[in-house]
Amino acid sequence: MRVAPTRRDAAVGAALAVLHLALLAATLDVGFSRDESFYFNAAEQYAGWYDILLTDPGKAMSKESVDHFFAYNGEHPALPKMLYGASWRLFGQMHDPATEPWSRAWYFEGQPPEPILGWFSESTAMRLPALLLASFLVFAIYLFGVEFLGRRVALFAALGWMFQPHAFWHSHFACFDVPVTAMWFITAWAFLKSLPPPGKPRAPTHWRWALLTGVALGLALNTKHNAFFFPPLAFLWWVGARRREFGVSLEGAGLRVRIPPIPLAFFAMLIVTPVVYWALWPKLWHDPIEHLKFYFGFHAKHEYYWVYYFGTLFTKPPFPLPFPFLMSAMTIPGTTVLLFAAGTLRLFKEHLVRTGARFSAGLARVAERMPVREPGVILFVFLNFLVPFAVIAYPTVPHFGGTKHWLHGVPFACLMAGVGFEVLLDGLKDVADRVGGALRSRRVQAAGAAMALLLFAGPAAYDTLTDTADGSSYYNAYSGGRAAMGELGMQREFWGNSSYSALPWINEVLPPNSRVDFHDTTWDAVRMYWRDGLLRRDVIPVWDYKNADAFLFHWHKEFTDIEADCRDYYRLEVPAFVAAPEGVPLLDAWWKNAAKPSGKKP
Amino acid sequence: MTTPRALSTRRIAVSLFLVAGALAYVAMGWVQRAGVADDGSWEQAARVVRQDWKEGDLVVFSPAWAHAGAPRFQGLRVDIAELPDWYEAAKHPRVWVVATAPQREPTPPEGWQVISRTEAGAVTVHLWGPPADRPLAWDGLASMKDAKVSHGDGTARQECSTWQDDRWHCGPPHPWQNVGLITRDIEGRERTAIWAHARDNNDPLEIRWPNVPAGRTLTIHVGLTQRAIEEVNGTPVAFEVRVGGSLVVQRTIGTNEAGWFRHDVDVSDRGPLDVAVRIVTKSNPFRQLCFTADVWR
Repeated sequence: MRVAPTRRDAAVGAALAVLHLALLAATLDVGFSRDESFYFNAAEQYAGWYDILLTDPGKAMSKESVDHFFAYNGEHPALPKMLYGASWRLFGQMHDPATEPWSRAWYFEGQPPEPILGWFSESTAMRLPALLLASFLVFAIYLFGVEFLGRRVALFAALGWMFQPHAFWHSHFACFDVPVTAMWFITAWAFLKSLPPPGKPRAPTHWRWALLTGVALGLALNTKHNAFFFPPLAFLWWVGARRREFGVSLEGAGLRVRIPPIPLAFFAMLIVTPVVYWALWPKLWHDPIEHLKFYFGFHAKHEYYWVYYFGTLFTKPPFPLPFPFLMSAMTIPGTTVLLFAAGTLRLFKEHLVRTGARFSAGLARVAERMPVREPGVILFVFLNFLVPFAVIAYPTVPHFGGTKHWLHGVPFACLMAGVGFEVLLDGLKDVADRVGGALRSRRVQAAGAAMALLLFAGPAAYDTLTDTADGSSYYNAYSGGRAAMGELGMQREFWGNSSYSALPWINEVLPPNSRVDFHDTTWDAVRMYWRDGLLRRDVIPVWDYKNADAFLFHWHKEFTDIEADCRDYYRLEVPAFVAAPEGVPLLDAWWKNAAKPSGKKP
Repeated sequence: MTTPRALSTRRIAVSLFLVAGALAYVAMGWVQRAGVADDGSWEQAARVVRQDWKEGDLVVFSPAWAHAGAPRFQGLRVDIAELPDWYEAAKHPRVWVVATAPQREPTPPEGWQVISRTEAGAVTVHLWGPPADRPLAWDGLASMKDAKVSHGDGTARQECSTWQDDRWHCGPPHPWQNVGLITRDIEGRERTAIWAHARDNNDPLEIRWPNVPAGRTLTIHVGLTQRAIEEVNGTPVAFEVRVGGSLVVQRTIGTNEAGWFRHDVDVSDRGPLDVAVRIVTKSNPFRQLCFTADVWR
């Protein structure tokens, strides 16, 4: 049943969140992905708007200002980029073109703003809001778990989310995927809290949570369009969970329709959410219909990204239906996957037994011994896990190749893994009770539980905290480790960030003024590498290997022809540098001046 | 009815299974990471290869995709494609197989000899020799300049006599409607082959070598590029090979048909050979056909 989290629970959740933030901060050596680089650019452009807002608010609200500052990247809501831009303005250490004239080319319109606090590198300043939100998500998962599923479930769920190499890697980025995961989770949490437990009356607190649901959904929609799937999910859940309260009966001359109390949050979603959505997206202020038409049109007709999956390069629909499920099973640490399977089976069994208990006294007795859970909560968690996966699984939906597009379902999968952890602890307690003696002591059992936690969370933590720069190329040991990318023919890096691993090689080996084809790494990412002092400023980026001295080939199956052309053009057979975490090449650096193959004894 | 004790036994079994699964996971992860070659191992492996390198040798990796140590082999002939191609490797007198986990002890293809095996840290260097009784007599890839390329039939037949950038063009140089060597992703790996993009409207493209040295077997490989099979446009391509005017290979490759199709033709009783390849399709967008032709003694 629902248990109000205590202050101690809040302290544990906060400690986990702070730990998460510390781990993220200690592993900022993550290269800039393609999408992040676009959002860097957008954040920088949007940040200019704050200066106008502070000096002339009226002008800032004008269509002219909005069109000027928010023209770029209108295919996504502005809120995350506005936050990244604000953080950058406040905390970033910008270069001064007066003392470093070359740095003009690194900034929008050639002019960086004056630093305010200047505490962090520019990329870290941009990433800060995303890091904080990712950490808050850990807090939210823990408290959600405590309130609806119990402390043991909560603890493993929070750790299970923290220690996932792909999610951890994405948590670093000034992107939308982990922020929308956090916003979705907060919306779901607020929604559930806005409903009184079955049989209990509404209290003022439920009104507040309903209002918060509306606000949270508005923020989620302002983060990424995935959030549009939450209202139908919530409605589906309400109908499913309260199905026995619906009814139609003949009464006198007419029909009497019975429906359960409509969640207040639905009204908030209809009234509050659109206001928040409109208010926080400047592009909607002056021409909402036109911009929404463009926005929905863009996403409804999104181009297909190529997907390398079990040795087949999928370039067009139908894409493989099991893709998100199998990719998660292969890219979430194996011990968490194991507990997820155990938790899912337990919940499925509970559902069957509770359904059967209505018809069988024997099953009713079994049901009595099961954990007491608030009706509907498990279905709610299950739907929040399933829907994000199912949306991407649909064969005509772009699959993109990575794992981030259904990330907002993963915290709920972690809650189910938490139930698996409970299954594990229950079984181990039974072992202790059977063996008896000292094993029955509470201290020994607590130590056993701690060891079980270490056995299951420890490997996940190890997997997550090694090769952090290349988190998107992680595959779990059950799949064969990172070698699965080569052995099974799976997607490797995702996307464009692997240049980061080649920067030390570029800086140390290439002669002054070398021209480098950065391949899948964008100009915006290169600009940020310069600004953060990670790339020599004399390096000349080009996106044409024929006019370059070196070519940084990002290993994607769809690009291998380009590598072959470059190799033939440079008359080389081996790259001068290979970035290969756990031995799997993610990036081959081809350098014109490397030794040519002769076939003769060198 | 299930008793509490039976339920408890079931819970114990599940939890022990989970613990065993987690321990197995830890062990698997440890073994996988321990198998990864470090810089020292790669350096050692490269030294082994260089010490006994002979002209014409080739280096491949096992697994083929595991070329993390490739930079150590600068200056040598090295194949870094994602999948092995033992057919092409057999054109070299000796092949160095630089092997790491998870395929550190690969099995040589049928008929190949194991010459040596050397441990180099986390790498094992195998030296293999292809079947010695089957030397290559002629390789179409190396004889591209000797080919006679033409298109059209009968009176409409036209020679493609423009040789530019190592390719034959029919008239002025064309970016893709030409015949020459290329490396393209075909059936899972980059393959160097003869690019012979089909012409439109059933206009036949012919590549002919009039004086190919005699041998026992003519081996043809043919297929469409990865880019071609991804396309929805174009029509199936008819591919034919004639030796001395006789049809010896005939295959139609479907619009999205993946494969690197091998045909072995017995030519043992024939003298110098006249080998002609003919390619026809009705609609040619992305009909990027590639092939190789070899004669083995």
